[in-house]
Amino acid sequence: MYSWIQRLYIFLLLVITSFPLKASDDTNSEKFDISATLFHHVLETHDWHVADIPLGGGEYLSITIPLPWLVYNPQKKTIDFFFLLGHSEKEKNQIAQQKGYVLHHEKLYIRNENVLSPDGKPLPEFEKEVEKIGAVWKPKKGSHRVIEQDGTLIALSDELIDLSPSKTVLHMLLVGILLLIIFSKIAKEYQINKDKPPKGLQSMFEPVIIFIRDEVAKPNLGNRYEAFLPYLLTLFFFIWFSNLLGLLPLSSNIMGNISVTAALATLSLILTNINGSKDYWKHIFWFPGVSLPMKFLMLPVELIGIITKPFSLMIRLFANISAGHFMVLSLISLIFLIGKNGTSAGGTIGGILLAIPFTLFIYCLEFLVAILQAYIFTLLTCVFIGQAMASHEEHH
Amino acid sequence: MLPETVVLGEMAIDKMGAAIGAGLAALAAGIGIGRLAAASVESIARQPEASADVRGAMILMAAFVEGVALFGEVICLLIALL
Amino acid sequence: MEIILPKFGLFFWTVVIFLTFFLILRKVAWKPILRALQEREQEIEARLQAAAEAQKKMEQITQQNEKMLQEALLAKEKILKEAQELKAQIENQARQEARLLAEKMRKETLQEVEQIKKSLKDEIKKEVVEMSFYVAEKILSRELRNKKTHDSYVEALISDLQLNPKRVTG
Repeated sequence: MYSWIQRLYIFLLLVITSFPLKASDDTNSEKFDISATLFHHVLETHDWHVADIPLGGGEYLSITIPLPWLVYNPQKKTIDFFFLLGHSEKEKNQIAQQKGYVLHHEKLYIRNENVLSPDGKPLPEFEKEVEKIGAVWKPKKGSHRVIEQDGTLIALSDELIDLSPSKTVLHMLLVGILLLIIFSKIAKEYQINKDKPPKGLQSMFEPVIIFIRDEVAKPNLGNRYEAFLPYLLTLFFFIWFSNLLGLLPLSSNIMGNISVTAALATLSLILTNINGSKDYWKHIFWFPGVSLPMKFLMLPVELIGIITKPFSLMIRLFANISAGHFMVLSLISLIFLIGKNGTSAGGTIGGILLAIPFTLFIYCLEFLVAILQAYIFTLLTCVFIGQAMASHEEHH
Repeated sequence: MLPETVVLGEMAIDKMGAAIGAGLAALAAGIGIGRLAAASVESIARQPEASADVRGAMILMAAFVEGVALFGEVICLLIALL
Repeated sequence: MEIILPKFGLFFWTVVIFLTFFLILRKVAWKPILRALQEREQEIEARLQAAAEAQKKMEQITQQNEKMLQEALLAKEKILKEAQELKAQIENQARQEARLLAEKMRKETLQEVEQIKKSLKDEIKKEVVEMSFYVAEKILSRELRNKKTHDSYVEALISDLQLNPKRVTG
C-alpha cells in the first residue's frame, strides 16, 4: 500500500507528465509560439480538445469533442443553435458562412451585409472603411470592422450575442454535477448515519463545512448567518472544485476566466447591497461625523467603494488562477523552447529535467492556492455582507 | 486604434515598461506581505492564544495587499497585450 | 486583450449555472447537512448536560448511601448497646428473682423446719405427756392405794400444770 503522500506524488507526476502531451498540439509549426499556446489553453474555446495522436509523417489524429454554438442575432432577431464541425478554422468557417456568420480567431461575427449593396460592393457611405483591412467604425449599432479572408474583404459586425455553452460552461456544469453528487450523498449519509460518527466523504467535508460555518459565517454575519450559509457553502465549494478541476489536464481553466469571476463578484455585489442596513446607505450618501464639504467629497469615494470591493474580488480570483496556469504552461513550454520544438533531443531532456521540478513545485502551490482563493473569496464576500448589515456606531 | 508599438532597436519599449511594472508590483506586494507576515508572527509569538484571530486577520489583509498587486499585474498584462 | 474582457455569454451561463446549483444544493444538500450537524451538536450538548446531571445525581446518591451506612452503623451500635443493657437487666432481674426465690424457699424451708420442729415438739410433748402419764400411772397406781395422798397429789399436779405450763412444754 502506498501512503497518501506517495499517492499524491504519483498523481502529481501523472498529471504533470500528461501536460507535454497536451502542449504538443502546436508542434506543427516550425517555431514554438509560447504566447499562442498559453492563450489557447487559458481562454475559453468552443470545442473540447482532448488530444492529438501523432500518426507519423507530420499527420495528427485530433480528438476533439465539438461543442455547440448558441448565438442571438439581433439583426434577424433569431437564436441560432448549430455545431461547427471541422478540423481547421477554415473548414468551420465555411459552415459558419453558410449560416451568415464569420468565424474569425475563434470568435463568431455576423457577416455584415448591411454595408454591402446587392452586387456585393460596399455602400457609398462605408466605401472608405471597407477598403482598409482592420478598419473599425461604429455606425449606429455595434462595432464593425473589415478583415481579409480567403483573399476577399469581409465586413464584420460584433452585434451578435454569443451564448454558446463553451468548454468552460461545460466544465462548470461538470463541477456543479460533481458538487450535487458529493453533497447529496453526504446529506443522505447524515440520514443513514444518524447518531454515529461521520465516515468517508462525510468526515472529509464535515470539517470544511463546519469551518465555513464557525470561522467564516458566524464571526462576520452575527445571528443572521444561517440565511447566508447555503450561499457561502455553494460559493466556496464551487470555486474550490472549479480550481481543482482546472488543475487536471484536459480540463479548462474555469476561475481563470474573468467572465466567471465577474459573475460571482456581481452576485456578491448584489447580495451585499440588498442586505445593506440603513447605516450602510447613510455612510455612503451622508457620511456621519465629518464637515459638510467633506460629506460631498466622501460621496463619490463611497460610491466607487461599492464597486471596487467586488471588483477586487473579481480580479484577485481571476489573476491568481490565471497566473497559476500561466506559470505551469510557461514552465512546460520551456521544454519545447529549449528542445527547439522536439528537434533537439538533448535540449528536450534538459528542458524536462529543468521544467518538471519547477512545475511540481508550482503545482503543489496551486493546490494550496485553489483552496486559499476559494476561502478568501468566500471570506471577503462574507465580510462585505457583514459590514453592510452591521449598524455602525457614530464614532466613524 | 492605438499607436503602433514603439521599437527601440530590437526591443519594444511598451513591453519593457510592462515587465518593469509587473516586477515592481510583485516587489511592492512582497514587501507588503512580508511586513504583514512579520508583524503577525511576532504578535502570535507574543500572544499564542490569539493565534487563530491573528491568522484570520493576516489572511484577510494579505488578500487586500495581494489584490492591489494583482491590479498592477493585470494592468501590466494589458499593456503587454495591447 | 481578450483575456481581460468579460464575455456576456460566459457571464450569463456562470450566473445561471451557479444560481441553479445553489438552489438545488440548498434544498438537497446544505439544509439537511446543516440541520443534521445542528441536531447532532444539540444532542451532544444535551447528552453532556445529562451526563453531568447524572454524575451529580450519582454523587448525591453516593453521599446519601454513605449517610445511610453511617446511620445504620450508629443504629447497630445503639441496638447492640440496648441489647447489652437488656441482657444485663435481664440477668439482673433473673439474679434478683433467683435470689428472691431462694430467699422464699429458704423461708419456706425454715417455716417447714419450724413447723416440723413444732410438730416434733408437739409429738415429743405428747410423748413426754404419754410417758409422763405412763410414769404417772405407774407411780399413781402404786400411790393410789392410798386414797388420800392420791387425791392431794392429783390436785397438786393439776394446779401445777395450770400455773406453770411453761415448765411442762419447755
